[in-house]
Amino acid sequence: MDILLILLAIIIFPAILSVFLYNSLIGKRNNVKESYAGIEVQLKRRYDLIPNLVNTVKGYAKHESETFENITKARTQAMQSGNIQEKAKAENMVSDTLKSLFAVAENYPALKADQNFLHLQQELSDTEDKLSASRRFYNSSVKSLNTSIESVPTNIIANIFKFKKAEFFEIDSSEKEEAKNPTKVSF
Amino acid sequence: MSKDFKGSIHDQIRANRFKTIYLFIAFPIIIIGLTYFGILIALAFSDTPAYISPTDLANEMMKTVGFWVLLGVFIWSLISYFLGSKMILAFAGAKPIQKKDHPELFRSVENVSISAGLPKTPDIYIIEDMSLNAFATGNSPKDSKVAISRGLLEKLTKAELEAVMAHEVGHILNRDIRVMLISITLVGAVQMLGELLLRTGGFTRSSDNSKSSSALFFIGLLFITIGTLLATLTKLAISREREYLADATSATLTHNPRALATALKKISENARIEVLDKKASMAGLCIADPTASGHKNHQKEFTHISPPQAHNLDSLNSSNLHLNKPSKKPSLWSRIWSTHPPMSDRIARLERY
Repeated sequence: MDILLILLAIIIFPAILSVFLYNSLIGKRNNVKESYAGIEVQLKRRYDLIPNLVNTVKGYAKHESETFENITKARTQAMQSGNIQEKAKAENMVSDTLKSLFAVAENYPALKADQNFLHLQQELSDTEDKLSASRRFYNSSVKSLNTSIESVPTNIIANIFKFKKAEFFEIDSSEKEEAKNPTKVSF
Repeated sequence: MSKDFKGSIHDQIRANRFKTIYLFIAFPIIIIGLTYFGILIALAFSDTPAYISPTDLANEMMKTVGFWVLLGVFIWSLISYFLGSKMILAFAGAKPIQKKDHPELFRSVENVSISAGLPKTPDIYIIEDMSLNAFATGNSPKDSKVAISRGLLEKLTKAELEAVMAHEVGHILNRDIRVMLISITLVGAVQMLGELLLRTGGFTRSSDNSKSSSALFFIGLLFITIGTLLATLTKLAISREREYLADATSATLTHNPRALATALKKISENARIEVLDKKASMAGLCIADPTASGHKNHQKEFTHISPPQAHNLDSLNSSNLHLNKPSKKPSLWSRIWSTHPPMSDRIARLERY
């Protein structure tokens, strides 16, 4: 009788514990998925805004075809890229080409005064902000999932059920530097 | 830092859930107790025959009255749970705004709620008051509201605005909003009832049935005393640590603790919202104590702050942050009874990140 109880305790306690651990892992994995969807929403918005922006700028600056080509290429590449690392790289490219497009716009005062252009510019910078916000949330949920997959005792459950570590959505190193030392704007 | 920080958020969420349940259980018990003593007082003032023991009579009456009281408590709890945030916003005189009214404010709230992973962007309200304060309320992250005063909105830079909103989102994330909501509406109800009884008692005192009205008066006094006691106790029980934690949440969400530090410094110049002076229970909600006494403490802390300096656009450069060091900390007595930790301490912690 006593032995039965002890055996029961040995089996039941770990069983209950592993159910909890498994559920927490599932929750964290869903968090990662959900937060990745958040990034995709912002990316989608950016993809939609870019053609509009290019068309508006084209109306004023016909001779900058190289910039337009670059930006269109970067956009297509980003939309087609598969895994997260590739995607992050492609998105950084889009950001860079967008920056050069806005730099081009500086040379055309009429363009800078265009209401439509101003609106698009604002929308895009807002999208960039939201993109970095959703990236931050995504990365924090990835970190939480990866930490549980690596640490005891969840790692046992994670091994059994083949939980995979998620990838961070990284910004490239130059941008990281920039984030650390933001450019001072003086008036 | 980040791991401890995550841990403390989970602790806070758990503690807050416990406090919510505790409040919902304690409220009916307190009300029933108060009703019982109220009946005893009423009986003491009425002409009952001496051979009936007042406690027996009171017990008998509780059997009928008790049911209605409990029903009332239940209904009020439901109201305060579902409509409490609306009531609080109305008390503070906050009005909802649309995105086109203030796109910058909307964007900063959207951005911080995205990086906090809130399921929904909080509704945004503006308090038409030139003083500097902000608060968050609501039941859950799915149903949350943030309010900011007109004065603060105009005074803060974009980064500071985002930091303040991130602080409020921190309260939403830690589920502070629900505990505050419940405690304000439930404890507020006891005080309100007391005031009502006191008024009717005092008002009809001149008329001929002076005995029953003076009974009302004493019952009212009882409610108010207990209510104030409760308000103070819950105020203290809802820990001041929550402000540090929300500050820390803001710092991790925006990666810019400096912005919150400068914003807090600006806020402490004039956090007083006059309509909230009498609503001490609501003080805990705001980013800085909005009552007159809170205002006095802020002034004591920063006596030689020079207002023109805070208007500088480049206050983010933080050079002026070190110029005016806090002159003195508020006394131990005022710290014990205050809803917020000392402002200078909060700023010092933010600067240490």
